[in-house]
Amino acid sequence: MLGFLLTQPLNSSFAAVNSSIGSHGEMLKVSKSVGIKSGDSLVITGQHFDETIGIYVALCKVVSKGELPTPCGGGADKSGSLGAADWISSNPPSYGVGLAKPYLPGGRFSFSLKVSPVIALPDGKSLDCRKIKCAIYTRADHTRGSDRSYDLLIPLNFKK
Amino acid sequence: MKVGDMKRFISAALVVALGVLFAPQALAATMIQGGPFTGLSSDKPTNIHLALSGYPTARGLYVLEAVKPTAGARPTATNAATQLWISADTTGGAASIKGDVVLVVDNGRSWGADCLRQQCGIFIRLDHTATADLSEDQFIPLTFVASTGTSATTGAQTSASSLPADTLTVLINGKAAAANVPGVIQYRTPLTFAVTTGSGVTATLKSYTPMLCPVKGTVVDALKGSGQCDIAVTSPGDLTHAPKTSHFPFLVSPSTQNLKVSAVTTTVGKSKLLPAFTSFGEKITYTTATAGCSVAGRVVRSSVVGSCLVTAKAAGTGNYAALSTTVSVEITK
Repeated sequence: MLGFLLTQPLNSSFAAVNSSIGSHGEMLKVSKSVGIKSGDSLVITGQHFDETIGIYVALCKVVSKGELPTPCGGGADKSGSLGAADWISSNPPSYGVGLAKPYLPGGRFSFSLKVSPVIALPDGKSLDCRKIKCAIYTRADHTRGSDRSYDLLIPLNFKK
Repeated sequence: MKVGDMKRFISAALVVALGVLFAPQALAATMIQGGPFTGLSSDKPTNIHLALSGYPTARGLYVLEAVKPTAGARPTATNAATQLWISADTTGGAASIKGDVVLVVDNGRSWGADCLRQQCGIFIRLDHTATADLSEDQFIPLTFVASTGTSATTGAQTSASSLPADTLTVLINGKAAAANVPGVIQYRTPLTFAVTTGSGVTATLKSYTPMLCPVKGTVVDALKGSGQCDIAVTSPGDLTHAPKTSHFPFLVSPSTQNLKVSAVTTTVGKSKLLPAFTSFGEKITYTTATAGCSVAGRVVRSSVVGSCLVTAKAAGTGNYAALSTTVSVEITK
């Protein structure tokens, strides 16, 4: 079940929503959600996340509730080299040690995410977040890939 | 004998020859055939040959030797050294699930078990892509026979089985700790293990509850304020000591958040900034009832010389209690 509560209502003119609360009490915040330009660095912070559950944080196409958020900028980006996704985990599998960033006490994280309005697809095509709805998402990492209860989003509005 | 009877006889004979065909438990869909599963040597490792069918194609499986867990649970004593990761998709590094899958099993002594006295077996489960999914969990029991003393064994194993076990002296945060006696670990309050072995070899720590209590080197932390953890300390042994593993169980409890300061000084008329957040990131609110002192947000100010008592409060969660403490502010000229 996708459970989240946007802390400000959305309206047709895209009201600025900078935070969202999940069904487990976790809170996601972004430093800016409207008028975003390509290459902008957004500061993404979280608090009260379940530290036993690893998560991905990424820019993704907005999907219906209960669906896996995909495609996302850079995909899973386990290497972190694309700068379009981040992996937060305090107990990653052995191959993830050094790649995943651990939670801070209190279920917190904070990092800068450089965003582009273009999400590249595996087939060489791309999605343009200036034309479709995109959002900063959190979701349980691949060790709980089908668990949708940690999906949380904050819609982003890119400058056209 | 009729042709049909002959076919049934041949089928039965093949099953006996190959080992046992294991029907899946409860929900497990994977069928496993192979062997040997009985009469295994306790003197030397044995290769168990497995053929799997009806396995999942979207996810991989872990296949490992383990002490039989309680019904519905996952094993805690496992032979991590020979554990297999197999999958229909080998691009991620898994071995192929098709064909002859070979698992090496032993008497358990190197991983803290005794398969002559405990029920060891082969445990099969879905891999790390579906850790909470128990639908493929199944246990195939193995039986071992006592050492004959005449078997062709490796020197190290023969020695290990007849050698005295290594000794482990464990200090946790500097205090002596006894194995198998439940201790307490608090949320985000790491425990440091210092282990001395009789043999002098370096012992290693392993968490059997890595999601809740991961281990980094010699430090164990708790990522929640409730639950139970099991930390195993193992000496690999040496030429004169057999391997030894001891378990240290912990109850996980909530902890307390704190404020970085308990006392500050400032001068009359000047403001002093107090910490905005607790050690766990909760926003602190400050109030004061001391005459001559005032608090605005996290800024404290006084118009008179003396001391000022400021109350600091912050919300708690299931992992840590709410904060309620005081900060002493000394105001000088």
